[in-house]
Amino acid sequence: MPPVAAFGAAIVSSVTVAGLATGAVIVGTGMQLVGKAIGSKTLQKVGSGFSMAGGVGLGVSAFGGMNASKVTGGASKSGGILQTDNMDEMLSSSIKGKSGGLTAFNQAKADTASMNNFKGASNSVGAMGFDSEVFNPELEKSFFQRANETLTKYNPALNIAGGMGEAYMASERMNLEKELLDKKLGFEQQLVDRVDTNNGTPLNINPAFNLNRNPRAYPGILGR
Amino acid sequence: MQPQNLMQDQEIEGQGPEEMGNEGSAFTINSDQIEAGVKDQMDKTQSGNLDRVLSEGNKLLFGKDTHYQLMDSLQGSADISGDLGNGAFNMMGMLLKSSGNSIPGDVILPAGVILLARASEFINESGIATVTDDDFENAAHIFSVKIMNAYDPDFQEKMKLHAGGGNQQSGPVEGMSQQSEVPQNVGILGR
Repeated sequence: MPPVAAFGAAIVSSVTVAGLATGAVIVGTGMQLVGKAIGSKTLQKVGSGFSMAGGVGLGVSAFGGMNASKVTGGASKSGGILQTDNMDEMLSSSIKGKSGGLTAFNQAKADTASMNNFKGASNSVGAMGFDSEVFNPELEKSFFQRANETLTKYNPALNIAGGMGEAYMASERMNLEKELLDKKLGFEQQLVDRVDTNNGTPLNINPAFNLNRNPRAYPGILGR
Repeated sequence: MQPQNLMQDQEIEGQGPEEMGNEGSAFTINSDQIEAGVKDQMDKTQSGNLDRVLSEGNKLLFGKDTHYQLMDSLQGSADISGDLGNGAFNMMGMLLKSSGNSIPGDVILPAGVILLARASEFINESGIATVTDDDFENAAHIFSVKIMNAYDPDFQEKMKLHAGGGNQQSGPVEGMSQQSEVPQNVGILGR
């Protein structure tokens, strides 16, 4: 990271908010799906950016057909054996609706349709037709480069620092210009003095005689 | 609303995918569609939290105390995407502050982008300024990057990694570590 951007990253708020990445994945997935559904490349692009910001380089294809809230852990605790950490509830709720309680494992039923269909069902994962179907480090790199440029451009603290630097440079430039103008004025004054002296000294006469004439002895025709 | 339903709605309105070739220079963003798509990815708790944040955000966006301050600042903007992105960031900072940092992290970005879409729609419809799809995309990028950089240490680490900076300035600068990036005495757009 360039030092200036690293500086910007360091001076941001010390407040941290947990779950931001989850939100980024949620909004990224949602927007990409909506964008795909309505054919909006903008929404897909925005969604892809959010997914990238949330740390999901694969974007929505990683979740093909899955619900992001389920990936990140839903709040519901009453759904079944895998969604509770209460042992009593595990033992009781998992057999709700079954007449005979827990049943012995039936090998004949082990070969279920869902298991056989795994290959077909899993085809939908990553097959949504998005550009970011395959993890692309270059894509991620370009995202973070853009993010770095954005932060450098829009970081208020950096802008203040930049403004101070600019003000310093402007002050230095003005000082330099003043110096040059003073020198120029000095030269012009010297020239005027020399002309004055030359005009006041009669030619071919020894200045030691001190025969000076007043170049302005008579006013001009306009009285100037 | 399911994405499939969204597709049907679009086709009914005669704006199917094949007719949306003017993206970028036009504005085709619909905040309701974004809200529906995002809520589809949320559970009930998250959805309820999002509704509460959106409600507060609407008050800030369209409330009589802040509406004109926000919209007047956008009038004649030379960098509408920057102003929108920074405005969304500052607005979320205000919401976070007013809630005592109690807004759940997983609804901050969804709420922000939905409010950003609503503001963009309003700005376009009222003629205050012209917002295109590209402007919205850029504003959403600015908003997300600033939020993540301000509140997510993992993102900051990633930024350093990708920039190859390694351990430059890894710790907070002394005396500035408690500063919030949201200015206290400036307008909603940071002006």
